[in-house]
Amino acid sequence: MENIAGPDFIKALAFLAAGIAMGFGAIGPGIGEGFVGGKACEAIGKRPDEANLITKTMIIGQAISETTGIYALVVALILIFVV
Amino acid sequence: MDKIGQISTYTVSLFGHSFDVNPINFIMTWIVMGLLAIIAILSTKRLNIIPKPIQNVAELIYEFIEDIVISTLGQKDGKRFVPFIFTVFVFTLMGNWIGILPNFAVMLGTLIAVVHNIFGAESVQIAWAGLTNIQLTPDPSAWYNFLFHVPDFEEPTRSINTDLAMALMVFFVVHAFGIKKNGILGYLKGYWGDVIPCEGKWLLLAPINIMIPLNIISEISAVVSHSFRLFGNIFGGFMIITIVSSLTKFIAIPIGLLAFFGLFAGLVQAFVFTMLAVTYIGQKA
Amino acid sequence: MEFVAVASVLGAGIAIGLGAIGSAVGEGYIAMKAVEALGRQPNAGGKILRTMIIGQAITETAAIFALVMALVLLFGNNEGAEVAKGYALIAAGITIGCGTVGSGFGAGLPGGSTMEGIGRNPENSDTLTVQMVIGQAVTQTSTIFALTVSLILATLTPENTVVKIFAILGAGFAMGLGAVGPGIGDGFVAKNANTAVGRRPEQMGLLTRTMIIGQAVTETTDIYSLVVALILIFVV
Repeated sequence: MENIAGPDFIKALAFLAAGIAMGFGAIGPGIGEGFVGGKACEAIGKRPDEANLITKTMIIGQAISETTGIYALVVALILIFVV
Repeated sequence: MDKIGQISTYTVSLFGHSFDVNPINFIMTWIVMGLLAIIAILSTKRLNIIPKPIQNVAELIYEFIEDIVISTLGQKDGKRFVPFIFTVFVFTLMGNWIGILPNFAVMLGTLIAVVHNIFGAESVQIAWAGLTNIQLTPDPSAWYNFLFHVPDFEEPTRSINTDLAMALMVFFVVHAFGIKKNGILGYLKGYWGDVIPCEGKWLLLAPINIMIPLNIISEISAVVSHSFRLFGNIFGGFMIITIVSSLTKFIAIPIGLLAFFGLFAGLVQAFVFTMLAVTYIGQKA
Repeated sequence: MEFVAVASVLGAGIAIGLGAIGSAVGEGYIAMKAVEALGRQPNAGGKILRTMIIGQAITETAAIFALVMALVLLFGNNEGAEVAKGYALIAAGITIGCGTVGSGFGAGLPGGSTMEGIGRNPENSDTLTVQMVIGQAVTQTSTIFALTVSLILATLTPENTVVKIFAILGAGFAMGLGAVGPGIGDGFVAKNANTAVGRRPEQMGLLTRTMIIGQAVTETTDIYSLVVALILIFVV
């Protein structure tokens, strides 16, 4: 182990930060998308004839819920490759 | 445990660049394609109103996929995409399932070696060091020695290269379909016309619309998630089977784990991959 | 004791300590719903007990993965390894420990709604059990990802620099924490799908299909975590 210098220390902490950013950032969208999917299943259980429309709406809703997850991914990649 | 992470690669140099090529993955892909071709020929050889078992199974899978595709994409577009989606499904399924086949060459070699040993050959040594540790060392000069060097059956989908190639193929099909269906302007409008209601002036707003880079990133990340979902599941299942087998010294073959990760997870992941391809196409319609 | 030996024990402790939380809560939830169902349908005791035990056995998977990983960390051979290896072992413990919380709890949710369905109509118990097993099995995906990254970390021999050590710890946090949300989310999808199948068993095919798509999309952020973790391990 060498003594740690300024730029190296920033790089090291940026990697740790990238991991924590992606980790916490994935929790919210995961639960949120789960709610969307669950309610879509419930709706199909009530009205199976509308299954196509409900599935389409579910996918769009989940894609939008996932936006914050994509923000976390972008931030993590910036922390890894740019900082 | 020493098998984990071991990938056999050849380095090929071409036009001054060097590429790492995994020949096993390549061969396994061709074996999967060959098996599918044989099954396809056998099941359509003598088509009959009263189907034989193999024709029956093929029809069952085809109708299952056809039903899903047509109910998602509609009658006209659905009919066009059924062959493509069916191919994706059967290739992924066969690719996921081929890993549960045992290594026939090593089994045959072991059998020959044991028989050879019984008849008093010097060219093979079998050391019984306890119940769980049986060492079989054939002499390198024995004629059947090459059988022990034949690699195991390996899922082509366990390599990220195959998965990424398939996800990219779906990506290009999706976007080509989007452009063909909506025209180039209508296709581009999907990226920046939908967020702010601006009645035809969306083209002028393009430079300041913050949603454009995000929409592009989400299209690209779809490819990443589509391919890594298959890769992670198949690779994870393989690792779990290897770890548990090595913890039990390969004496108790984890049949339950093979059935779950090999057969069940393979089927579910092939279905998920196919369904997501259909959904991505459906979003552009 | 040298640092690597201490780290392997610490990693094993984190792995099984955190890893037991999710499955325990999930199994308790199934048992709670089973008792409620038993209160409604005392005659269907056998069916309720059988389905409860199947559901709890699958919910247990996450904790068993944590146990396997703890054993690998405890009994792995780390003779003469450098300091960075110790941090990799701690990161492996964090990954599997946090990573099993979500799907342990998530796998309990469909079990609970299956119990409710059987309590409403014991005739559907076979259909509901099949649906529950599929939902719970797909819910385990986030644990499988966490286990994969954890095994890679446990067998890795990283270069001994501060930057690499922080990158490895980052990979552990990314995959471990990232698997929590999708695990719980998958559980919600399976739970509501099971409730719907309990009401209309004849729509099971359609509902299973929708459930699997919903769960697959829910796992997307988990896959981003996997990608970030693999970049931090192999590319950086």
